[in-house]
Parts: sequence; C-alpha cells; structure tokens
Amino acid sequence: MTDSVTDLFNMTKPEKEKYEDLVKELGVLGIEPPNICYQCSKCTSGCEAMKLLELEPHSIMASAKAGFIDEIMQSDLIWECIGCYKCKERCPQKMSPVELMYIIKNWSVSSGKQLPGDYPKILQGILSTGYIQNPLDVRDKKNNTWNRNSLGLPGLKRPIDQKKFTEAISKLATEGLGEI
Amino acid sequence: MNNIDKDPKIGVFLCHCGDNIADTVKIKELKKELSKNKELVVKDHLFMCSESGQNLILKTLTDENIDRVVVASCSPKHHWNIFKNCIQQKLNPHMWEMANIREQCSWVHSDKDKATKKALSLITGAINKVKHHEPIGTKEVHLNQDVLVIGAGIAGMHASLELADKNFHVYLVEKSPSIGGNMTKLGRTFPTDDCSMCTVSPIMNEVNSHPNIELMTLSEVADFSGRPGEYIATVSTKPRYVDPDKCTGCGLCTEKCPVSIPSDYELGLKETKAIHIPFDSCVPEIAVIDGDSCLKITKGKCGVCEKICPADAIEYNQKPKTRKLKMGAVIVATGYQQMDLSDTEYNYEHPDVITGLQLERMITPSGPTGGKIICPSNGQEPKVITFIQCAGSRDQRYREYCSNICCMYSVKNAKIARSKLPHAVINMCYIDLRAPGRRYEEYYRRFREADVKMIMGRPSEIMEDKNGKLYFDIFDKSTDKFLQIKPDLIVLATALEPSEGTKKMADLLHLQYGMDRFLSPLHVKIAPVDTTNEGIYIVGTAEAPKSIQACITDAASAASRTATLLKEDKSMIDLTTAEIDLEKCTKCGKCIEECNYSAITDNYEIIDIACRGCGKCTAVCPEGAIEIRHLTNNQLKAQIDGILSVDPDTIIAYVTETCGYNAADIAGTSRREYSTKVKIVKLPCVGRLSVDDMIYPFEKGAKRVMVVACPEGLCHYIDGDAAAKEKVQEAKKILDKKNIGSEKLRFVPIVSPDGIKFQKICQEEAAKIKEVSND
Repeated sequence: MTDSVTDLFNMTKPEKEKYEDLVKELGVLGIEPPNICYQCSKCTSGCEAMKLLELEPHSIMASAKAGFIDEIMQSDLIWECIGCYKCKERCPQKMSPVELMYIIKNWSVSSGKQLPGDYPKILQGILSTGYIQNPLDVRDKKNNTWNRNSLGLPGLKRPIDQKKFTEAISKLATEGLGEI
Repeated sequence: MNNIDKDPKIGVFLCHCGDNIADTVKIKELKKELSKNKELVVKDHLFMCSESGQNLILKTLTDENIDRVVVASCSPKHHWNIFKNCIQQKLNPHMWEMANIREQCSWVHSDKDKATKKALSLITGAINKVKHHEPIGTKEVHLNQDVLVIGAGIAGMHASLELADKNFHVYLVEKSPSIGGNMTKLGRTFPTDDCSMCTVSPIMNEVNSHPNIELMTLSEVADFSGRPGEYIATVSTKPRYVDPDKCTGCGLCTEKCPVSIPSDYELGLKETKAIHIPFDSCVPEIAVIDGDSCLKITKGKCGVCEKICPADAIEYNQKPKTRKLKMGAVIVATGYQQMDLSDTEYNYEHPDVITGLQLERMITPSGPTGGKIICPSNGQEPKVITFIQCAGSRDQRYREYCSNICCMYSVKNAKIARSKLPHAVINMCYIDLRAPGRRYEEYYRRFREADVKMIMGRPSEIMEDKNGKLYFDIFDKSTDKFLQIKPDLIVLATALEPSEGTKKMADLLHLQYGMDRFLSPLHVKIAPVDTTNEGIYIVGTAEAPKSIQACITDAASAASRTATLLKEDKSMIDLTTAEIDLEKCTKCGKCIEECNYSAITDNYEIIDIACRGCGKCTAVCPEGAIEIRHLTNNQLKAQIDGILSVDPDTIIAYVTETCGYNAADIAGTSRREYSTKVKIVKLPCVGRLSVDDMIYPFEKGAKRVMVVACPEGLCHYIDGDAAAKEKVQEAKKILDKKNIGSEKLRFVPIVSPDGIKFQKICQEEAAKIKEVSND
C-alpha cells in the first residue's frame, strides 16, 4: 500500500490511513485485519445478497485488503448486505465481511453520502412511525395488499405523541443509547 | 572469590593474528600491563594457532607448571578446537578460556588506546573466570541397545526394518490386530498411481519374518518411565481369543459367525463378523474375535467358531496381558486419523457425503464395493461427483493447518474416478492447488488433461432438498459465476489430525506438542525427528500431516539417529551438565518444573545423558544449589568483576553462544564499528540468567546491561528466551526500586546473521550513556 500503486481504471491510489482505521475499528469488535483473508470466497458462496443482488463479500474484502476503501464507500453494493451474518459464521479465517461493511456504511453516512435505493424512505419510516414500512398494508408476493384486520391479526399501536417519538428516535440515531 | 585451593598459575597467550589484532590492539602494552600480575605467565605470538604457536603454549605449560590457560585471539567459532586439543595434552580440557579480541575488539574499533583497554578488560574477565574453572570429567553411562517402536504403520515399519537390519532388537507395538496402518486402506498412491497394498504388503511380511523384530499386535504402551538409554515401558496386550500359532486364516469361522459388526477397516462402508480376519493380506493373517460383540464372550452363548475351527485355535478364556520391556531408545510412529466433520456445514451425516479415505476403500479392487464407486445411500453409480478440498483444514474454526496431502490425493482420486466413470460429471472445489514435490507438478498437469471441472471457491454449506438430494451454491472466482451444483456423491478432503494414540503418547512419554496436538520436534528445521527427550524420536504423521515418501524419510532418519545413540552398549558423556548440591537444595521443585528435557529426577538427581547444559535450572534455584559445571555462578560473576575492574564505563552484553555471539562475530567480520564500552559475555542460553545475574553488573559499576537472546520461537533450548524475558521484567522492577533505572536493562532478540542489528543496538546503548554524562 504505497504511492507506487495506481488503479488505472479510475486513477485512484490505496489509502493506508483508512485501512488502518478499518483495522482499528474491526479490532474493537475482536476481528482480525482484512489482510489475513486468503480469498477462498466461501463468504460469497453463502451470501444471500449475492443470489439476487450480486454482492461479492470476498471482492469487498479484497478491495479492503488492497486499501481501496473509498471505492467501497462509494459503491452502492455494500448496502445490499442483508446482515444475515453467515459470512462471519462460516469464514475459515474468522474474518467478518458483514462487520467490515457496517463500519464502512457508517463512515459513508457520516460523510454525508446520499443513501442509495429505498434506504431514505425506510429511514423516514423509522423516524416517523418506528416501522420500516406501513404495517397496516401488508403486501404478498403477488403485490396484493392485505389489511391486518382482515387477516385476523391484532392491531398495532402507533406513537401517541408523534413529535416526542420522532425526537427520541432522532436522538437515538445521533447520540446513541447512553444519552436516552 | 572463594574455593580456590592454591594460587593458580595462569598462562595468558596473546595472538597478533598477523596484523589483524596487533594493528589495533597494542600487544606490547597489554603484555606489559598483564605481566605486572605475578600469577600470570604472558606470551605472545604472531599466529598462536600455528604449529609454532601451539608449541609455545605446550612448552610454557610444561616449563612454568601452569594449571589454567587464557588464549586471547580470534572468535572461538574459529579455533576453539585447535587450542582445546593442544591444551588437553597437558591439562583437563575445561581448564581454559578464550578472550575474543579480534571479531569483538580489533575489527570493530579504530581507536587504538580504547581498543587496547577493552582487550585488557576482556582478558582480565577471562583470567578471573578461569580461576574458578574446575576440571570437568566424563561419565560412562550404560545403554540398553533394544529399541521400542510404537505404531506399525508405514513409518514405524520402515524404522523397525532399518534398525533390525543394523542388528538392533526391535519391539514393534501395534494397537490394531494387523500391522500396516492407514496405507493398507489406500487404493492407489501418488505420484505413480501404484497399488498401495502391492507396495506395503512386502514390507509388512518382511517385518513379520525379521528375526530382530518382535511384533506385538493388539498392544499399547500403558506406562513409561526411565531415562535415555534405559527406558522402561509396560505394554498391555488385549486378548485375540485365537491362538496365533494354530490359526491358519482359512476364514471358516467368519462365514458361520452369527454376529455382524461394522468394520473399522472398511470405515463403515461394509460389515464384518464378530470373529474376522481384519483384511486381505493382513499381517499376521489370522482371525481375531471382537470381545465386545462376541456372544460366547459377552453372554456365554453360541460357541459356533470353536466348534467349526478345523485348527482348534479358538480360546475364549484368553486374558489381557502386560509385559515390561527395557529399551535404550523409542521411536513414536503413532500416526494420524481423519477429523470428524459431523455437526458442521459439510453435512457429513448424509450417507452420500464421504471422506477421501472412504473413497480410497471404494476404488480398491478388494474393497467393500469391489472397486466400484457408488453412492452409499442407494448403491447406484453417481452421475455427478464433487470433490471438496480443505474440508476442515486451513480453517481457524476447525484445524488451522494445511493437511498437506489432500491436493495430491484428490487429484489422483478424481483422475481414477474419471477413468472408472467415463460419463459422470466430476468437479472439484478448491482454494489453492498445492503440488510441491518431486514429479507432483507434472502429475497435476497430466490430471488437467482429464475432464474434471475445477471450481475455484469454497461452498458455504452443503444442503439437501426435501427429497434428501444434495446440493450447494458456490461462487467460482475463476469464471465470476455463481453456481448451484447437485452432486450424487460428495468427497471431502477431510483434515488430518493426530491419532488418539499420538495424543496419548504425548502425555505418557512427556513429549512436547503444538496447539494442534501434533508432536513437536526438537528443532523444526535442523532436528526434525529428535524430541526434547534424548533417545525418543518422532516419525511420520504423528509429527504433522505428510506423504508416504516423507514418512519413509523420517523413519530412516530416526533409525539413523537411534543407531548413533545406541552404537555401543555404553557411552562416555562430557559432564558439561547441571550438578545439584543436595545439602543446599530445599527440594522446592522449581528446577524440575523449569527443565525442558526431563533431566532432573523426582529425587533431585541429574540425568547427565538427558541434560543439555542450558542452565535454565540455575536461573530459578533460590538456594544456588543447582549449577551448570561449565558456567557456575562464581565463574560468571568473576568474569564480570574482571571486565569491570579494568573499565567500569561498560555495557555488559549477555549473549547466547548461538545467535547473539554469532551476530557479534558477523559485525566483526564485516567491520561494523561500535563503541568500546560494549563487552560481550557469552552464555549457553539467556535462560541461564537469573534476575540476580542481570542486576549484578550494575552493583559492580556497569552503566548498562543488554540481554541478547535468540529470536522468539527459535531458542535452541525451547524457551530460554521467554524465561529470560520474564526475568528482565522482574529485574527492571528491582532496578527502579534501587533508583538505578529500569531503562538501563534491555532485552533484545537477534538472529544469528544480523551483524547490522548488533552494531545498531550497541550504538544505541552507547549513545544513551553519553546523553546521561552530558547532563
């Protein structure tokens, strides 16, 4: 990871400092540095997001190893991880692509990057109602909408004081659990 | 200091080494200074190592009635033996010392006055030390020339034959009813595709008929004691319930026996009977009764085999036997087993997921399927076979190491499967394919001519659909494709692990082992079959997963090591070993705990043949009761006194005789100049240093102390460096308490060829003294 390496596709260079930050944050979670990864791609073989969305955790690990962290941050692919943790569970070298992606996703959000796809909508939903989608309109595979009552499901409670709820959620998101 | 009977007369011989020494060190001045001391007879010579130089030494020893000698010349790595052989014509070979004033003085300093002062300091150290030298004798030890070999797989058998051919009597102990080990289970072997049984069968028969090999099957070592050259093993033998002298191996009993049991030998692929002949061409080729399942033995009913046996060989009332054996050396050849992959993502519970070894049984013509590859679930030929590599190996969750042989045997098995099933789809999932060995890469190339689809990747998990059909997803890195494979048969390249017997022997024989429980050699590179216990050797897959070739090499090597040790029934050993003063000893047990070589008995006697003289015991003895004869506490302190009496402005560098001393010599030969403040004190191992030894130089005025150890994990005495490192921490605390300052004591690991680092650390330490004095 020196200046002597250049990615000729986009003329970027590896970022040593960011790699070290990554190593530090993984270290806090007790996970070894990406350099240990020997690229067997077992993570990708078992990746649920790979099947539909072509996320290749081992490629993310390879880019991280090589120090091309910014490329991972800019990529929308990491947002396709569904967080099933199978890659962490099965990794023969006790690495964790899922945790690595969470760290980079957090960096991405802090840097103010616009979130891809439906993420803003989902976040908005959480802020306003506490749910990622409207739970009163359950949709099935054929895109038919069902009302909970018609399915015999119990009703849901909504926040009584919407304003107070939104504030609490925002506080949780920005300041962490300790402050609430 | 004390204990010197009469005033010693010491001969000091100064070598000019042409101008190598004399150009920098003023020999004349040295001689003048040293001659002031009436105890000394000082001589110099242009080349002390030459014949005339040696004659000068011999003549002086006779004429002047000298009883101790100091030679100040080059590094002992060069001419130690020349001077030793010369001196021992007149004196005990331990009554001398060498002061290195070339590599560690004239070649690394340019200031002549300072270099001369340093030379005087080093020589005075040597003189002081040699005053405390005492003659070290030799001792005759008895050696039993019989050898015990534990495990009769290919390695154990080969070692036994090598020794038996050299006329050693060998006890070969094997747990199973037949010898031969895992090699008898293989179909073919790489890289020749030979039939395994055809290779191993003649060896088994030779072992069985060799007059110098006493074979004990169904036997295990149950107890072990003694010392190198005189070990005692208790061997317990399970009953066979068949008279080996009468049984002809006709097999009639097996036909009629009503009890079926799973066959150990066939790895669950076939059943056998309670009375059975272990396998075709087994040795000895006779029947054995499984005592746990035989109806006659467990319930007193049946007795069919006894009635039918034409040789009258059945003996239901046989009892277990034990036997005490004596031997001089032991070879441990207890081998490997396959890791159990049950309860993992490999779905080993499914009948059609098998191991490589199980496939070996299938491809053997005399095997459980008659040489046919089938799916165990339905007996059908598989249409799709997938080999999965590194199953359990190279995996921090299961077995951390590479199992070494799987790449090659899977390549071989896939090739055989290809020829047996020409229409089947065969694929192999791998990470790296490793083929390092004679004719291996060529073998791998020939394999690639066969139609086997290689998938570069590792499945996350092996699943089955609702009909019980196997399938898995895999990302293929070479094509960048995400594949789903539905094999009929999955062959796992299962990790190898040490066998139960190997684990048991490690405990029973007190052998060192790694985190992986494989047995550790004395030195992984230069002593690969020796262990920390003199006279106990390890061979084959008990040490690590390895090929048959490597097992054979190990076996021959261990046989040679054994023959070297036991070439005569007695051996003279130099007593450069530890010695216990039982009057001072409080029997606290610290030395016993510290010794890596089991060289101290529970009665606090030193087993001289086992002791390697590292001195780790000395460093922990609270009473100073245990000492190594070749570097006693008095000698070490006297040497330091001598050095500091001439020049207290000194950094004492304690170095190991191996790495540290060599690094200093290399700094010398490459003329890497450093401060004359540094004075080197040689030790067998830094493990010899007690906390007191680290503090002592400060009490006598030294400015700084360095403990220069061998690099971590490369200690020549297992873990002396680690022991010293701990003591340095302890000593640092004391130095702080005494207001001397913990920073003045430094622990530095160094590799043998690193003269550059040696120079660097010397300069760093010297610079620190300057800073202080400037303040």
